[in-house]
Amino acid sequence: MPDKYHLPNTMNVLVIDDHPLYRDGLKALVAGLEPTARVYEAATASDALCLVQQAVEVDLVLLDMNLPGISRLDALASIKAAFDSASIVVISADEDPSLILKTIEAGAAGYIPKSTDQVVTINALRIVLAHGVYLPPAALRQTQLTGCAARPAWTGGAPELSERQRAVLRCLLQGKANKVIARELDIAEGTVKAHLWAVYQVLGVTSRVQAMCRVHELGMLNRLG
Amino acid sequence: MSIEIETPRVEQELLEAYAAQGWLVPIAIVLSALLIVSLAWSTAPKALSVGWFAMVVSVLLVRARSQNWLKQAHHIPLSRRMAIAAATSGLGGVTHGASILFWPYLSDLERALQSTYVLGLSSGAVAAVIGYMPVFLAYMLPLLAPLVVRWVGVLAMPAEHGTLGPAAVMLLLFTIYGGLLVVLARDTFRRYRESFDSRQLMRQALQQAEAANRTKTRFLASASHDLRQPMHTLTLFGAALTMAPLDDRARHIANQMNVALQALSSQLDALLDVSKLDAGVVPVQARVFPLRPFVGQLVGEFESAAHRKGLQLVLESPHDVSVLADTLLLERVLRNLIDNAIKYTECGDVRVQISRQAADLLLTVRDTGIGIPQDEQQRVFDEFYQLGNPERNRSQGLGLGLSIVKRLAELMQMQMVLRSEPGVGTQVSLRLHEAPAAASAPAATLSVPASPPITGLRLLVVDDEDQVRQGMRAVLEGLGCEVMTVADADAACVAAQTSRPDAVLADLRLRGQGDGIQAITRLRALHPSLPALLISGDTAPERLREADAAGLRLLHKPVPLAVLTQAIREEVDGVSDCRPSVEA
Repeated sequence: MPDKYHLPNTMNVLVIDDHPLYRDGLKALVAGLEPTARVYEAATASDALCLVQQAVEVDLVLLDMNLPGISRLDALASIKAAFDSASIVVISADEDPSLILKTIEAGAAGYIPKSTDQVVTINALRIVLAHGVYLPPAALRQTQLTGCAARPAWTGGAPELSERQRAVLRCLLQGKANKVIARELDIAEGTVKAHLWAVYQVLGVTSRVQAMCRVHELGMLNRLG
Repeated sequence: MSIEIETPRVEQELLEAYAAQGWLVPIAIVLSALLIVSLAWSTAPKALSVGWFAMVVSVLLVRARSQNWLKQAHHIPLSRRMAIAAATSGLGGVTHGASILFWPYLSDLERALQSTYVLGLSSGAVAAVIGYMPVFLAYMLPLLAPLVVRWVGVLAMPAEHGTLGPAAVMLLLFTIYGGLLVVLARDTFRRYRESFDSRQLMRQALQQAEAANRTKTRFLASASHDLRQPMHTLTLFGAALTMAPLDDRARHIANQMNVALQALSSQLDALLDVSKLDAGVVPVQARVFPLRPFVGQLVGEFESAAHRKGLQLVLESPHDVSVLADTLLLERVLRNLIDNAIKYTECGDVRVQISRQAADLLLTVRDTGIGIPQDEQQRVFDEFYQLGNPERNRSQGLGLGLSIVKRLAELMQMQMVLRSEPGVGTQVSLRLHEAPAAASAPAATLSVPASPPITGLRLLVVDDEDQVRQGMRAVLEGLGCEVMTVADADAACVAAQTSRPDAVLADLRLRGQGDGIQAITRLRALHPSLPALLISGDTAPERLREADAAGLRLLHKPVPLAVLTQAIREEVDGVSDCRPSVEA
């Protein structure tokens, strides 16, 4: 028996939401967008943690933070700790920009508002399935005003990054810790830090949250590979 | 369900009315007492004159004190308190009635004056005690009785008149006079009680209306909240459906379903917005930001909608204007206004204008649309009211837009003016507070390297002034802190009970009980060695010594941002443990 249920070129997606019907809907949509993806589901944080014991390696977690018996940011933190190599994307009906910013600060790789606009929902999920990262434009506008971005908007188009830098940046945006990035890219942790420093300089930012905003602002997501 | 509301008693209100009576009546009483004393000064014993006058004054003082005490001595039954009020009133009656003791020293004319004094007091008392019978009688009887006895006695002296006739007439007159006063008092009190009862009814009706309104708000909020969940689910299934292989007809149906779903959702969102605003749970977080790019972005979003209708959408604004406002709420207001302007305009243009007016900024959305008739201009701000939509075509929305705008403007304390003329157009102006541009660009303050980052800290701010709390919140949240604000030590302890903040910023002076030092002491009882800072506008040396003695660092208002962040950082890192000195 293999120690990890992870076939090459398939994606493991974990849907955590306490509403069974909503989970079904999300599963149907993910299946439509990414037919090869395997979708796991959990109704509570502790259900989700059981999957860790079954050694399921998850690439993407779609998390509704409003779970019974646990506060929102606590839910995010415990899921993040359990699935340290996964992108955690929050799905929530709450569109308060300050909450969105807080979840990104807490290590989420994105935030999909539970919107009833199909096009928005499909696009957001498509981006998340491709990159593991997404922020809603409306929240982005508000966070720009609150000083999320460190400098006024970039004028000379998107900055140039090396392939390795793009890979490190992508992992960073997915909320992965330096040691996880080092493990995945098979480089030393010190090298990860060096790359990150260079990326921050190029983007003109000083934190992961600022980097997240800047990347969205510049529309760089598609070029992160 | 009926709610028992404890009904206030008329007696309680009476006691409050007694206590609220000014010094006019006592002054009149003292002056007339002085008149009596001066009339009898040369003839009467000085001890009597001085003693009686002192008695009058002290009874007045006793009564004033007891009335103040009675209205709030809720631990004593009301009937007891009314009895006490009657007793002090009786004491006053006896004292004033004792002016009869001067009779032997007065001439007939002066006696007549004394009688006028007593009769005046007795009729004045009707109004002063609002006709409440026990209190009134307790005063009037000891006041009038000696007078009656004296006059009837004088007139009945056979040596002077030889007949009892005049005495009997005098007695009759006094009886009629006294009876009249009693009737007058009864009527006065009856009218008072009637007005009390109707005020009572009105109060109850108001309370019930308010309660019903709150219930409605809660119901709306929870209903629209609960309905959103299945709606979001439906969206997912709808989206999944559109991705499945469908024939043209089925695809058309799926798309129509999705359009309907979106309409349903936006209407429900509007309902939820209204109920949230009515419930008062929407916070206002004002910050300084440049207005033009903010409005420009919004206008940009509406460009395609305007173009589809063949309208011009124009932004007219000076550069470099910054305002102090809540960006989220202002965005919703502006969105609604621009959306409405486009919806109700068939040709011409929609202009969003920013202009300076005195110290304020005027943000105006102006259209060349159908306009609003004069008599409907107030009603367009009501819920569910739509202009030119008598058949209530729901594809035009619920008509909640402007009622949300009105609530939001009220919440942000922004003045809003509507001008409109049918066939010409409509303009809605919002008055905003211009902020100095230098204070804007929170990004700049973030990148100042001099102040160490305090991002992510959980800070508890204790300040009794709402404005200071809001200001601190805006500043500290701008620096990426999680901020809880409370007004006093009690609230601070409650807030800190569940989780330990990283640091406390307390104002030295707090309204009510205790000060910032005590608040910190109490918080440290919960969380030992909790990092804490005192902030004060007070420069009195003894306050500084108090802070110093408590070993707390004191920052002076206004605290420069760099100093504040530095101090917070040092306290949290424990750097300053060794130097609890007072900062200049």
